[in-house]
Amino acid sequence: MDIKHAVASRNQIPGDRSPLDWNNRQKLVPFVFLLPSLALFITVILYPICYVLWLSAQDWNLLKPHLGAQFVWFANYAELLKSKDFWSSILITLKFTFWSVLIEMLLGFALALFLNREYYCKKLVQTVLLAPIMMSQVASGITLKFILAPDFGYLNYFLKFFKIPGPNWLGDVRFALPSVIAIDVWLQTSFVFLVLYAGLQALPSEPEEAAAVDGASKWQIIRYVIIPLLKPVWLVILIIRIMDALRAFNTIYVMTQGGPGNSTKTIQMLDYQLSFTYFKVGSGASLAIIIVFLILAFGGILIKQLNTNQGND
Amino acid sequence: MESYNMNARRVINDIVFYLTLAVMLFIILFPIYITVSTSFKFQKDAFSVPPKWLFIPTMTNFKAVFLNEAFAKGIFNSFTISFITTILTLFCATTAAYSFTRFKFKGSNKITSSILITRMIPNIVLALPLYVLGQKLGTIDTYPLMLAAMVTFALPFQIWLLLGFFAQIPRSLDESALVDGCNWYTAFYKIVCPSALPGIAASAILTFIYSWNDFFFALVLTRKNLKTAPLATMDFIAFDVFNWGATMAACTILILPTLIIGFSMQRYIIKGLTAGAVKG
Repeated sequence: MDIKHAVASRNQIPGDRSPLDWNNRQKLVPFVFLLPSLALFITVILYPICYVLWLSAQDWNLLKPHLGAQFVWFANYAELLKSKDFWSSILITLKFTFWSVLIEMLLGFALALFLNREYYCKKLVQTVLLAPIMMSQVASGITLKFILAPDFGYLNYFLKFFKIPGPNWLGDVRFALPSVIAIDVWLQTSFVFLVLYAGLQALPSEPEEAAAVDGASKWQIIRYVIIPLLKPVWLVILIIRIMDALRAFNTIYVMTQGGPGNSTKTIQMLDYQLSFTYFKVGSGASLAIIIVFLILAFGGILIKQLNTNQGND
Repeated sequence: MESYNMNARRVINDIVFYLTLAVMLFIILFPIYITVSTSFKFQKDAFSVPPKWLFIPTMTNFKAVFLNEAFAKGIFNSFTISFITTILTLFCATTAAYSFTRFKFKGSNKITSSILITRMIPNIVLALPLYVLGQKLGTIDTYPLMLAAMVTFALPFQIWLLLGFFAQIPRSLDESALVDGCNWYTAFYKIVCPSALPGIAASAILTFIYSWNDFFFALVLTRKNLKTAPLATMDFIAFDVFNWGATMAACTILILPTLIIGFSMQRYIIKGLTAGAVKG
């Protein structure tokens, strides 16, 4: 014990350490810090994803345990790619994503420009704008279901004043998807606004002032000065919103469950039903893999855009 | 004459501005107002046609909700799960972010951009295998499974967020701590973390809110034991489709914690949400 101590303390000259000791320890430190997250990722993401890949090649119905799991290679994928449900859900997901993201980005940007000035009760407005983001999507889904109710809902009552007969918003095949898109807009526009507004605040004021001195009109300033400068922020929030819209589930589940018919059945909804209503986990897994590929493809393209844009700066 | 026109124009401008602002605030607040006000209504007032704006308030809905054992349990479960998730996520995210911002090692650049990619994974890709594995191991509806899913799913965004905050803390701070005799772990715990406190607070708040509002993982991975508040609220619709009063009361209670946190910690939340997108 004593000899060990003596040797060790001899190596630890204050302010200096044995080079071997120090280097080895140095190399390990970053990984020690990474250990918790890395361990979590490997056990909870990597392994399950491999498991999903394996699952996608099985024909396994959890409701029929006696049949067990049978290895069927790509049969699940083929079945999916041939099914009408799959392609219609892709279309619906794309429609949903396109419209909600478009409206949210435009509204959020307009709002950010609109509020980019001094005015009274600024704090109050920011507080109110935070509310849709904080509110549980289940609660907002339920409330909006209540507002959109055909008989006693507030929206139809409001429309009565204009002598427009209000349809069954969430029960009518023509209006279910637009209603769901509108809900998503209500929920997410604040987020887009917040980020774009912060971006606007962070912009340097000299370019704007220089343009104004040069006689540019307000619209010209927005078009040629603000928008180009805001592009990096725009791209990031665009990526985030597209990714989130492609995976939207909570509000759709609460309000329409994918109905009426198939009109709001996005791929997430379809996958949920395949896996947890019909318990055909093999098909569910293959659909999940397809979704991952779609999202990675989309995301890859967009991120590349972001990187080239940042490179230009 | 000229200045009179200018003033008139500015006044009209202001009127239009505040009017539009009012409309916008109304659109945003209306659903929340409906949620809260309906929870105070008697059944017959809740869905009378035409809707009643003035009504006699009642606490019967709240009584029904509070006395509902399943809902009370749901609230308790949500609190516990959110709390533990926040702590675990903070621990993993701060250490990871610290590692990425302090050390340059092989693949550190690739890892940071792949964090953005892991954020894109749809929850079902994670939930499905966890469910099947959970069935096999008998861990459905237990804390370890649920927490593992929640923390892992929250991690990418929180690491990304904390990366920004940790990067702003100069390495000279670390170095002076090391010279003073700390090792890296003490430097992290005693020096860098306190300096990054605003960022850590933002991360903690956002994780808690995200965890409280989670619906998908709770839907798939819990049964009776760990049912969280959003699921318990959904049950009110399932039971009694016409008891909107009670359902709205449940919703009101559901959104209360996050709204309170949101309003009191605005600055942190906004900082957290905009961190990755806006530089500085």
